[in-house]
Amino acid sequence: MIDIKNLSFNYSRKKALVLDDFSLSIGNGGVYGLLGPNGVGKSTLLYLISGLLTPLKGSCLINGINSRLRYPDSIRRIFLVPEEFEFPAISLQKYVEIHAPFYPDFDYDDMKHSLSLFGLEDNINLGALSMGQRKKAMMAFALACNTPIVLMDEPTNGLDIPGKAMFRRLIAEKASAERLFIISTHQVRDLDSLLDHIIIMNQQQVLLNASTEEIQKRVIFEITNDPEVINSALHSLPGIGGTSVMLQNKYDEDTRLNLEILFDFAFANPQKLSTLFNNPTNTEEL
Amino acid sequence: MFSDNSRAIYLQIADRICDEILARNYTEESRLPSVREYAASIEVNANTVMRTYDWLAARDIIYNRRGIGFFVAQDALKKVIEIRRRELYDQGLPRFFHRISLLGITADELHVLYSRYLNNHQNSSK
Amino acid sequence: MKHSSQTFNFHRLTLFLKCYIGENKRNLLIFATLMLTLPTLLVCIGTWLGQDVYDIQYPSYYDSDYDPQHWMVAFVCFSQAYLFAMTAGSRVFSALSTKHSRLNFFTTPASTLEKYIALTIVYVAGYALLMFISVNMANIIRVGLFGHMSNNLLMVPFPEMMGRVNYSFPYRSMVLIWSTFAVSISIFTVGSVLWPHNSFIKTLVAIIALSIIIGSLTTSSIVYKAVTLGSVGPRFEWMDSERAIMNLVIIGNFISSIACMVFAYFRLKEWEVISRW
Repeated sequence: MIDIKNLSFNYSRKKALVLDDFSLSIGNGGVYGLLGPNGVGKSTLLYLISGLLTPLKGSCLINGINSRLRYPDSIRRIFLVPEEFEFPAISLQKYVEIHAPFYPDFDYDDMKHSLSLFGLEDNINLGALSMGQRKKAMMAFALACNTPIVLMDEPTNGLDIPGKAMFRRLIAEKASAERLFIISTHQVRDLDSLLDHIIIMNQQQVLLNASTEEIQKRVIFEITNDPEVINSALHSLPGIGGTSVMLQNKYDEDTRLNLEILFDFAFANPQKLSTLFNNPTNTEEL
Repeated sequence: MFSDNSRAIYLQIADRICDEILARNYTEESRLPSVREYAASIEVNANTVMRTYDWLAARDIIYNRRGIGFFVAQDALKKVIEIRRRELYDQGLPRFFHRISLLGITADELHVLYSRYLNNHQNSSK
Repeated sequence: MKHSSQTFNFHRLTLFLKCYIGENKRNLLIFATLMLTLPTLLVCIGTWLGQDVYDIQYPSYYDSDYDPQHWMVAFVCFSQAYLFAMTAGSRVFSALSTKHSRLNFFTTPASTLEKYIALTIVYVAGYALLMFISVNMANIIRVGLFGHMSNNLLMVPFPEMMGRVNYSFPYRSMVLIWSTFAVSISIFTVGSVLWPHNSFIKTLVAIIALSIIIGSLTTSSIVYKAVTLGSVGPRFEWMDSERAIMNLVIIGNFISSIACMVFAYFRLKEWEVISRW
């Protein structure tokens, strides 16, 4: 559905490329986590997908149409929830009245339901909301538009703990094979059990683009104090209660995906990561 | 929501459902929440819950009625007890025995302690 | 909606118009109020301050259809009209001035052409309509409030404003003035799309700078010619006709205005959510 081909982008000719020959393919549905450290270009990538920025080279095609063309029918199939944004000083009702008609699948009751989960009424004035409340209101509206693609830039930033839980609940409710969520975050803990695909970004490149199923087929995660295990592991992270390790999944075991260690591994050893997931037949080289 | 151990989430969810069956909170032939409802309530991807339901169905603990939903099977309680027992025999007990043998606890001591425990708990549940 | 044009769709245009007006109601209302009240206010103040001119000492001095305050009214109305044209032009693309408003603007599902037309309707057509109403209102209220002062205190509607400027071509002069309004608003519209933040000042400075440059170049080339050749070149007979010159300027103005507006549209298409430089 989303085909990014050889995308290169920078903000200014004097600075380095934010994305360099970046290629990525994303399917029609599921919850994709876009992970990467701060400043690596996650927001930039989301803007490029939405057609808000012009690539230097390459293109981003959504269902075969270049998103930079900014066709209205393409735009109305994507909803971008930015990390920071402002609402006009009008009531939510008025906001819905003027914005919802652009989205033919908008569902008012859906929005009311999400708002109530967040503890908000539908008769609020958008100009009087705190940052956290604004995010909640925008999310409720965004999800109610029922766009096939929803992009979210650091959605849990600024949410209180109950808010984060409600957010997870809403995504769990709405995710399906027909709806694509791409959620960028640097706080992996907020999302880990929701994701079914992981994209890890580094400066300018994709380090990993795999489904959680694929990942769990290839590697297992454990907490151990056994030094032998730790030494033979692909990667390890010391922690409370033991050292988290990532091992090759030799016996087709099922363990819980540990995003933190996977993320750390991706940055510590991108070559190994790429061999592990992109060339399954070369596991011997590890 | 889930303990920080490395047991796969779908298995942790299965454990939880089995606990509910053991505690008689889910009775035989009662309907389980839909995959999506359950996923939303525990904030987990619906695919994971689907895996859980598949795992439970493969062990005949639950079954699917097309178009209606998932239901607790007739002899689910028996099956759960069986599975838990086997897990205990295969993993839990060997680990336990390993620890207590290191501490030098004999089989007789174990017998006495366990009998005492059963007595106390039978009395209190009356 | 599935097979509708991706460039222009009337329904989407109305949706976007509603959306833009709904979000910017407050600012638009303030601007409209200023446009409607300022000319009336200034005209009335001017009438009041200059009321001595109606001293009945020399009643036969004035024609029955000549208002000695004519120039004051004309001056106020023109200056206001130009001022509002420039301000309206500089606000056309105010939606591009901050990152947040740009995000909102570009993620709204309408085509760039529809957005452009909507903004033009609000600011350019809106300006024209409001200015028309405002000038007439100023006249009516002036006569209503102060008409008792003298028989010579008369309405000074638009063509007559021109008539006193140019007896020979009152209506051609009117079109000429309209063409200059068109140029003013369109130049400031271009300024608005190039520099949406603090657009008015930046455009003004740019115009002044350009005028100085062009003026100096023109003057120096004329002076050079005069000094070296002894004259500034052959006279063009056809340019002696005032009417011909007016026609030329009118056409030139309208063409420039259209060129500016078209340029603004294409520049709008290039805009990004984050400025690159």
